[in-house]
Amino acid sequence: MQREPLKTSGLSYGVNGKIIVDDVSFEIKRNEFLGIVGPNGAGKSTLLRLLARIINPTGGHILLDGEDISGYEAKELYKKISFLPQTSYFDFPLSVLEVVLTGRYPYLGTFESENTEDIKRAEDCLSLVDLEGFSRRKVTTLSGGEQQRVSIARVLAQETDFIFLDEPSSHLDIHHKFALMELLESLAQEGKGVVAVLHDLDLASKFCERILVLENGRVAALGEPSRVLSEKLLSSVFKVRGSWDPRGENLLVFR
Amino acid sequence: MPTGKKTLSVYVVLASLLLLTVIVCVSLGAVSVPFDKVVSVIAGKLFWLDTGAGIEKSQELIVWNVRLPRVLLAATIGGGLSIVGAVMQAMFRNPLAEPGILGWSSGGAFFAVLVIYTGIHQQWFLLLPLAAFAGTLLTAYAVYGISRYRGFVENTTLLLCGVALGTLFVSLTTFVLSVSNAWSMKEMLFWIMGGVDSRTWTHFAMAAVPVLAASVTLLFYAKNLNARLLGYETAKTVGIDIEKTTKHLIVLSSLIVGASVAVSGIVGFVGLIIPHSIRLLIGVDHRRLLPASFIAGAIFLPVADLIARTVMSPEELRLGIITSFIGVPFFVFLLRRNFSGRGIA
Repeated sequence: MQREPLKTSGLSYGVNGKIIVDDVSFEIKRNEFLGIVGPNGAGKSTLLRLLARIINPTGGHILLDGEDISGYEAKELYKKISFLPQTSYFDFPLSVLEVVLTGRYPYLGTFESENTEDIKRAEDCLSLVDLEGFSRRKVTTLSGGEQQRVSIARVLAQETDFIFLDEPSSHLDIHHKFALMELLESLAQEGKGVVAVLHDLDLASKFCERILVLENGRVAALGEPSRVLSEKLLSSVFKVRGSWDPRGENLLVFR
Repeated sequence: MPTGKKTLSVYVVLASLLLLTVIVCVSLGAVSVPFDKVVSVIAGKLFWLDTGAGIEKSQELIVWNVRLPRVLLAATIGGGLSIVGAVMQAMFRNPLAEPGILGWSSGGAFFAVLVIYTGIHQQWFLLLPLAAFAGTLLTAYAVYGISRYRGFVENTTLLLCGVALGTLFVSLTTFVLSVSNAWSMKEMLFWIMGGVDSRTWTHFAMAAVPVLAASVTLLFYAKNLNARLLGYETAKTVGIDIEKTTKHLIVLSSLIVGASVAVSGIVGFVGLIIPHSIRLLIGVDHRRLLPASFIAGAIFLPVADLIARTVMSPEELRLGIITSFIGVPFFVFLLRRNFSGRGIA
C-alpha cells in the first residue's frame, strides 16, 4: 500500500471559463525522476500546483496511497509531499537555518520547537546543496542562486516521499544546475518520486527517466526522453527543429 | 541566529526597562513624586502594606488614581499595537503594514465615535469597545478583501486601499464630531490623534483584558507567521492552513486594535517602529519576536506619553503627535529601503 505510485485521473483545472489543465492522467512512481516540459502557458506550473494541493482541481482526482489528496489533513499531506514554488520570497532577514527548518514544521506541534535532530537534518540538507557553513547567514544577503539552493534545502528537510519542484534550476549557474539534477536523480534512486517542471530540454532529457510533455493543458506525450522528444514533437509542440544526436545517447541537437 | 542566551538577556533587559519605565513615568509630570514614594504607594496598594508615613494624600492620589492607570494603559496599548504590527507584517508579508497605516484604527475610531454620538454606549459599558472592535474588523476585512486576488494579497493595493479607507474613516469621524455641538475640538483631537489622558482604572481594565488575552493567543501562531514570510505557497506546503488562520489572525488583531482605539483613539506607527527595531535585536523568528515586541511596545508608549505631557508643560500634546514624529521618518526609511530591494531591518 505504502509503495503505490501517486496517480492522477482526469485531472482538470479552469478559471473564468478558460481551461488550463485538461483531463490529465498519469502516475508518478516512488523511484523515478519525471520531468514536465512544454511551451510557455502550457499549464506546467498549474499542474504542479494541483499536485501540491496549492489549488484544487475543477475535475478529476489525485490519489496518494489510495486516498484523494483533498481528504488529507494538511500536516499529514505535507509529510508526504513537498513543493518548491517558482518564486520564493525572502523579504525578511531570516537566517538560512531558520528558512530550512520551516521544512520541519509539518512534524512539529504548536508550541514544539525544532530539536537537535531537526537542526542536524537541516544542516545536512544545506550540505547537499553546497551551502555548508551558511546556517547563520541572513537569507536576504545571499545571491539569487544561493537563495534558490536554500529553498531546495528547505524542501529536502521536509523528507517526503514525493518532491515537486517548479523550475528548480532557475537562477543556478551551470555547475550547480548539474549538481542539482544529479541530486534529484539520486533522490529518485533512493525511492522518492521527483517531479520537476523544466525549461531546458537538454537537461530534462539527460537526467529524467520519463518526460511528460504538456501542450495547451493536455498531455502531448509521456515516456522516455529518447522516445518522446521526436523530431516531429519538437517541431509541432516547441516550434523548433531538432533531433537526437546519433553519436550521443542523451543529447538533443537543435538546428 | 541569536543564541538562547542572547534572547534571554534581551528579555531580562526589556523586563527591567519596563519596570523602570513604569516607575519613572508615574513619578514625572506637572507635579513630580519621588521614585521611592511611587514605589511605596504602589507596593502599599498591591500588598495592603501600611506605607503611609511621609506620603501626602495628594501624592497617593496622583500616583494611584491619576498616573498609574494612565501609564499601565499606555503600556498595554503599546504592547498590543506592537504585537499586532509584527503579526500584520508577517501575515501580509509587507514590512510597511501597521494598524494605523492600513486604516484599521481609523475604522475602529469611527465606530467608537458613532456609538458615543448616538448615545448607545450608555446602555452597556462594553458597547464602546465592541463597536471599536467591529469597526476595526470590518475595515480589516474590507482592506484584505479588496487587495486579495486569486488567493494572493497584492502589496501595493493593500497599502493604498488601507490609506484610502483610513482617510475615509477619519473624514467620517471628523464629520460626526463636527455635527455634534456637544463636542469640542479637544474631543475631536483625542479620537484622531490619540491619547491616554484622563484615563482611569476602568479604561485600563476595558483594554487590558482583551489586549492581553488576544496577545497571548497570538503566540500560538508564531511558527505560522514564520512560514508566511516565505510566501503563500511555501507556507501552505509546510502544513499551514492559510485561509483559516488568516481569519483567526485578523480577528485577534482587530480585538487588540479595537480595544486600544476604544480607550485611546488612534495612536499610529507603534506597530511599525517597535517590531522592526526588535528584529534588529533578536531576529525574525516570531517565537522570540512577538513577546519581545509586546514588552518593547509597553516601554515605548508610556515614554512617548511622558514626552507628550511634559515637553510643553503645562500644555499636553496629543500622544499621536509624538508617535508620528518618530514613526514617519521610520516609515520613510523603510519605504526607501524596500524600494532599493534590500529587504527590511
